[in-house]
Amino acid sequence: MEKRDHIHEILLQYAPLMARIAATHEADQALREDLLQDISLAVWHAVENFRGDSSMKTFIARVAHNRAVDHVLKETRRQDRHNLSDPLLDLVSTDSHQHSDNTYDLMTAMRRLPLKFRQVISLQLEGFNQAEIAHTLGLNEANVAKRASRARVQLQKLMEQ
Amino acid sequence: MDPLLEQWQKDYKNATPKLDTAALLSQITSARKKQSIKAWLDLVAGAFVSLFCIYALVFEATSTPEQVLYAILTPLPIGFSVWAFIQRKKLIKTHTLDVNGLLLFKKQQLINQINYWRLNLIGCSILWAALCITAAVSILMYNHTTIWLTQVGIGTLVLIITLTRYLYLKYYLKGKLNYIDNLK
Repeated sequence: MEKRDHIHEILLQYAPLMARIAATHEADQALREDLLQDISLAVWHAVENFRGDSSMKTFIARVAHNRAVDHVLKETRRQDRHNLSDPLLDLVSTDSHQHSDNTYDLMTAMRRLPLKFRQVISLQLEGFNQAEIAHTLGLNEANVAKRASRARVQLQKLMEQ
Repeated sequence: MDPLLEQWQKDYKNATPKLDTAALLSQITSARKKQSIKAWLDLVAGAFVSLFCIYALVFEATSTPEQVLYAILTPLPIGFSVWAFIQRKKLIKTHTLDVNGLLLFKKQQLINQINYWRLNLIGCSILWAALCITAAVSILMYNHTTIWLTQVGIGTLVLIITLTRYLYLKYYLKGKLNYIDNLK
């Protein structure tokens, strides 16, 4: 019971992180909820075998990105559903209307990035350093740096459009 | 950190979707329970069918060919269930792979899938040929036409389904592998 409570605590603590990763990979609300559930379930299974070779946050981001990529593969196969201009209807905005627009623009632009760039930039925006991003994506740090710089240029271009 | 990235970071955090964490927790607790029950049920069902085969071997089989058939069949259901149970556990472990590791795994899975269906097709073809020969002999020598024609008909249907599935997967394999490579 104690172990289960501990896992529940972890899931609650990192739910916003997992939800943002889901939102970065899926625009459709219903599918995003399914993805979040899938990520949470995978995290539950994974945490039971966590050996502490990275921080808990990095470990959870790794599992969440793993599930998100799997979701993208499945959905792409199912149909070309990743309509990049889908609105994000239920974003929480803590600031002004202008801020909400910025958030909307950022997420729309991020979803238009190729997956390999989207992942790097989303991890960067979560506050992960290059070594942690490399651990999550299975890349070396030089590759992460290269991708991050390209992702940033592309994202900036997309936001200006 | 430069101001643009800082601004994006702020906007990104604001993009957190609304969350009902209590509902999420209850959904995944129930989903986890269902997964676990399903895995154990599959295992028990396999064991049950194997036990039934043993029962048939001991109490129902009236000739040596029947006994041989049940003896061959007995380990298959439980063997398959144990294999499926282990595969499930292995699949869960792949959730902790990094993204590149996962993409490699997915590629290998697609290749394994096509190999599985190729083997399946070969197996089905051999069984179908054997069935046709047996049917021909039975029809010509014993005049058991209806039952054997029905069996050949069913066998042909299974073979056509297997062939169609194999050809379908083979046709799309290259595109799927390319798509995964592009994600890397």
